Amino acid sequence: MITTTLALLLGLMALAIPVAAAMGVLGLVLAQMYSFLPVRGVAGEIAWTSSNEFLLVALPLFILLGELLLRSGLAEKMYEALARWLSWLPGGLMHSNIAACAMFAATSGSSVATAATVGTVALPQAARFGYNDRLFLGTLAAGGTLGILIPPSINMIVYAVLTNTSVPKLYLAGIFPGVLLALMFMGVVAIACAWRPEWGGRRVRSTFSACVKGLVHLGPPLAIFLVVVGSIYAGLATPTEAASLGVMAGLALAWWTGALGWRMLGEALLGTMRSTGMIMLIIVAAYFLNFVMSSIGLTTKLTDTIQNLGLSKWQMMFAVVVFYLILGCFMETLSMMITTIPIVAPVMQALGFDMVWFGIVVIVLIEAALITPPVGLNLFVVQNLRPRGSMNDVIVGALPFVLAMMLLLLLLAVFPGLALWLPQVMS
Amino acid sequence: MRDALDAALGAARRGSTAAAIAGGGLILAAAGLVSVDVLLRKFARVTLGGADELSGYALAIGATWSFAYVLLNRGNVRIDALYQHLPKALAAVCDVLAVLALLGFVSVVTWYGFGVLSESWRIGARSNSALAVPLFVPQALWWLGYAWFVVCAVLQLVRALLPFASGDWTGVNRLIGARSIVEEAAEEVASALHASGAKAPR
Repeated sequence: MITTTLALLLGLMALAIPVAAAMGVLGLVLAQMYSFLPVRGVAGEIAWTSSNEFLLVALPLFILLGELLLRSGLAEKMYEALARWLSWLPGGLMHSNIAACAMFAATSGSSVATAATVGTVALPQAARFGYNDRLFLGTLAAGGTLGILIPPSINMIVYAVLTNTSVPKLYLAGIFPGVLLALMFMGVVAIACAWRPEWGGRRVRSTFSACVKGLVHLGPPLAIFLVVVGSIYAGLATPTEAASLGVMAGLALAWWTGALGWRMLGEALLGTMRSTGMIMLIIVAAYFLNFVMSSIGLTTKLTDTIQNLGLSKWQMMFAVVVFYLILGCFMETLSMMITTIPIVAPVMQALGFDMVWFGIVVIVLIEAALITPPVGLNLFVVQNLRPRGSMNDVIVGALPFVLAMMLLLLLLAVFPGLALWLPQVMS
Repeated sequence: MRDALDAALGAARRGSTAAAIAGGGLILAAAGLVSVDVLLRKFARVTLGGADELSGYALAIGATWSFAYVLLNRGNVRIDALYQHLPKALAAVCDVLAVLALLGFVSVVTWYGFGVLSESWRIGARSNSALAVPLFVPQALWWLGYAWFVVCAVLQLVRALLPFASGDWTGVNRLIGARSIVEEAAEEVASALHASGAKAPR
């Protein structure tokens, strides 16, 4: 049964059948082959119940917030202000790239949006100040991935829905690892530029008073962060409610910067629904497939088989990391999560891993997937911002940052408190 | 034949775009309603009640209303690791299979989805909450999105079979081919550039 299922799934995926359709068709075929009951009939019921869940409403809301912020033009001023503060470091503006990404990540739940927004503002500076192209591009592609680790995070909501984990706990757990990863990225830049000073470009000089004045421009992103993440921890709002407040704040901000208009709003809504429709169809199909799989006993068989491999707790963890690193090279990240987490997470839970901690590990692996070729969406986003040049520059430039992510995973394994301390203290 | 199909597909595109924007409007309205609810609860100690339920319906309806738009704009994620190396003729076969598979699965959901809706109508089901919403109302709107998807998918499939039959693989690709990751990224960048007022690099 397992072999047939796997062969079918791989076959469908290899034929480039859309992920949603592949899962749905697989569910139908499995129901036909192995079920004595008319399982197919519940497809309608599942489609309805899986798509009106209140927690899932946060998904389109965070996507919409990202679309609004992307179009509100707040990134430029923020980047300038951060550049004034950070460009004295070895590696200059590359540090502001990472800091701007981290800061934008605190308002946006998407890594692609973060890379696109900050990249648009930052990239024109690379040539102007003579930076090493590859490293500069790498900071943008990798920095952008912080979008899903530093709360809010779209991927964490998907993980929470799939594993019944608390979103507020996941958000808290992501803060320290997110900031730490940003610092590690800056460390990578500093080390590289200490080794090869010519990579670091020319310094931008700034006076102290200009630095202080620039701080005003950090206000808007900070305000959004407080509204969205602050309201959750003040006990004021659930994640979906916080996302709603965030959308309202995003609208207000876009109105304030003068970006808001009917056309802009229409584009933002259309962009939101494009992602939402794509994800929701996959979610509906995944719920259906999971239902079929558990009703024919395949889920139990699968988890039993994995457990009977006789791997120890940490061997299994290592296997999961390798699995996601490889899969992440070929698969779009949300589809990857929705297809694999329902199988992998229960196994890891049975082995005694904390689900919040494992969530953070998964998110870091997803970040790696976003900047590993051939299918790393962030690589392509950054490449697209350049007028010319080879894709290889971005791939090579992002590589050292993948190593930083692996180091973070190691640190998380040795010091689980990095992720778990904050949720424990706050609850 | 071709002209009539093109006209129909054009109308389907416009309809689907409008439906997706309307769906987005529902999501935006839900955000507004939920925000008002939170603020009232905090500062006036009043609760509207049912904001969570209504926004759930907004998601269900908004999502299905955007399915056709995603389909017609080739927005469904496909894994193209192998596909992009296939000869054009084989890739075109995959493209047709892709629409068929989507159509097959969604048709089943649409078929049984109608059962959900008609059952709610028959027994007069109401939501288990203070609002006691007659469930067939949101379910009917939700189901319409699926039905519209099926109509659009059939149109798109038939239209794509024309170039397919005459061996015009490029034509097939333009209609139902997988969007490459390069196109995907270009779109993301275009909206960011648009915001910053800069010009696209190429």
